[in-house]
Amino acid sequence: MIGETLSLQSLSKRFGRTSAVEDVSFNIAAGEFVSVLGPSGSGKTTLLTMIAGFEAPSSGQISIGGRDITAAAPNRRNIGMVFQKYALFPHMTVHQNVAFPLRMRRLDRVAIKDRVRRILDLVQLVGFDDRYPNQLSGGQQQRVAVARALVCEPPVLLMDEPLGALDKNLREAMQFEIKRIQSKLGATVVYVTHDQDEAMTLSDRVAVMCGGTLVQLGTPADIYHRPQSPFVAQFVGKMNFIDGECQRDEAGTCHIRISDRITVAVPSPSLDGAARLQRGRAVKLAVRPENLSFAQPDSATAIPGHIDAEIFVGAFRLYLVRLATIGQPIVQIQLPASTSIGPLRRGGRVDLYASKEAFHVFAAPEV
Amino acid sequence: MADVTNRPNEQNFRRPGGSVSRYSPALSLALVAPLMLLMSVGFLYPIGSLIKLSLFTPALDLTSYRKIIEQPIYLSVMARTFRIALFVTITSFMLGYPVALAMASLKRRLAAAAAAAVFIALWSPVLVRSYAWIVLLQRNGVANNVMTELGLIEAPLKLIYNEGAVIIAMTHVLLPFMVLPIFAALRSIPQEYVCAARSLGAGASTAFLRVTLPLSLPGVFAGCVMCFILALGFYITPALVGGPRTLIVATLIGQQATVLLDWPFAAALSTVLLITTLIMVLVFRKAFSRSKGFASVD
Ligand SMILES: Nc1ncnc2c1ncn2[C@@H]1O[C@H](COP(=O)(O)OP(=O)(O)OP(=O)(O)O)[C@@H](O)[C@H]1O
Ligand SMILES: [Mg+2]
Repeated sequence: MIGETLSLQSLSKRFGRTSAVEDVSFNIAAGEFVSVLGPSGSGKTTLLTMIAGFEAPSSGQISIGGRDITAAAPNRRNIGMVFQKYALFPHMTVHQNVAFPLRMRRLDRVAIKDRVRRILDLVQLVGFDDRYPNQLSGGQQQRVAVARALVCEPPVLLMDEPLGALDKNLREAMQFEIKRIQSKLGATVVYVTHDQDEAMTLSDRVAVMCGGTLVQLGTPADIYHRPQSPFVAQFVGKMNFIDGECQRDEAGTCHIRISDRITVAVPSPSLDGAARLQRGRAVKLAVRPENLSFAQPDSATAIPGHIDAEIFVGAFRLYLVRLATIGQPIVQIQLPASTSIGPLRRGGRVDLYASKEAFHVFAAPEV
Repeated sequence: MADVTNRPNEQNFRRPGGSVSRYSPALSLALVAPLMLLMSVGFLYPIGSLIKLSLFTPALDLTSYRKIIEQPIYLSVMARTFRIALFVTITSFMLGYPVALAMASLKRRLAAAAAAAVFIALWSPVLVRSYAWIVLLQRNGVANNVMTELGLIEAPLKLIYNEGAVIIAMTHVLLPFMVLPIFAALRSIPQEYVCAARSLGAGASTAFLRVTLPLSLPGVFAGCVMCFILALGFYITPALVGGPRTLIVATLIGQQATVLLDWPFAAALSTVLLITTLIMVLVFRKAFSRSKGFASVD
């Protein structure tokens, strides 16, 4: 195992008046794979450049293996970094690129040759030693970049959207390969991406960022099933939102009124440690398309609506339903393609059901 | 899962540039035709008649060339010209590279200010700048006065009308031609390369020597060639701040053509200068393309 712990404490970075990263703190265990997920401009790259030491944080502390490195020069941090555009040196061959960090550490010729050969073997690029970067395909360049970052076995590896430039098939193959190399070497990885599937597949834990702040950090299942904010809920996977108003919040159950006649009972956010909702508080009810159905389970409330469209998406069928509730939102329902639900026509009236546990409640921001 | 290692185009080289971005031959010919015409009338024809003038009077006559080779004074003028051009190129590089580096690494507004300074130097007339050096360097000029005031020297030094003065003044005049191409080359190097080098364990100076410098060599090449060639043919500045013992080819040609009216000899000198210049450019090119940084930059 070469990995070391990485810990960030109240890390902030301001560029003039814009705050690119704001008060981000987390601890990453040795050998853990953490993805940083967030929309464009949420401060992911800025976070990485601070960890790598290219930008000094405005405030906060970074430590690796318990050692404070906030003020260390980038070449004294022993952090590997894979850049979004690879940043392979165009005037050096594959071999020279990969040997670069070893030469910087003044290893002798034989040792360098040996280690370069071993890491090129690992990324399956043996025989490409004398090519220049512009003579390689995107995926090959990417593997060279990974090999170069890993060759001196840094305890922490940072990757900034390394697969952004690749097509879907190659991207999936590379994800697999990155994961394989990482678990073989045991490096601690911080992996920036704005692709949620990538983050879900690769990571032990996912950190979701929005507007410079860390909004949730948890396992992929945690993030998916227990989003702590509407932002996370809709950013990771698909989510329907239904406006409503709290009627009662007691004994772990929250009663939400979504139209004059319909009230649904859902798990109270107070179960997750949040404050109880007050009577009359505007809320957003969230439910994922795959948790809705037209078939009635026990003791679930029916939510009436009209079918707006039916879309065949291969593996499943998507229905768009306009609800007869406050604001008449359109919700998506995802059903297996094989399910037959009888003659449903456009404009036809349907009732939607979901189990109580499938709902999340978020208090709407107070006006 | 796709098998990445066995993709069919694995062994293919990637070559940028497709036919879509190319003009058809006829169109490109039409586009360059006006320039070709101008070049042939204003450049090729005079050069041709120059060479003809140097060789035929009206029968084939090599006396002018023989004169250049046989009289040591002319060869020494040649040698001096190349020596001065070489020194000017070297000093321009030594002074210009740091300036270009500073310009490229400055923040936007400061970089604009630095670029403006370079451009103003470039735009102000050569004559003015050459006279400025006379004002600075002459017997009771600024430099001598200041040094006398400070008690550094007893009597005024002879600072002007020698090779040193010519080199200083020409360096000043040609510096922008060195700075601008190097600056352009440095600007085009993505910041990530330096960041990558640093994170891979290189200190600031190592990162510069191993990454920034090699990648800026195309600009260095362009700047050096430009400086060297302009310096070889420089006329005004050496004529103003040089003396009798700093006679260089351009001045010599001027003398022969306008004072002594020996046109065939002036033409022969010009032809020799032209050919040696071409050879120097080719040698430069060869030398630079050997270095790895040059050929492989995208
Ligand atoms: N050098 C800089 N000067 C000023 N503002 C900056 C600078 N770098 C980043 N920012 C700002 O900081 C914010 C975060 O930028 P950052 O590059 O970290 O986003 P990101 O999450 O990496 O986005 P993307 O997914 O598009 O790469 C942005 O609003 C950006 O405009
Ligand atoms: Mg980014």
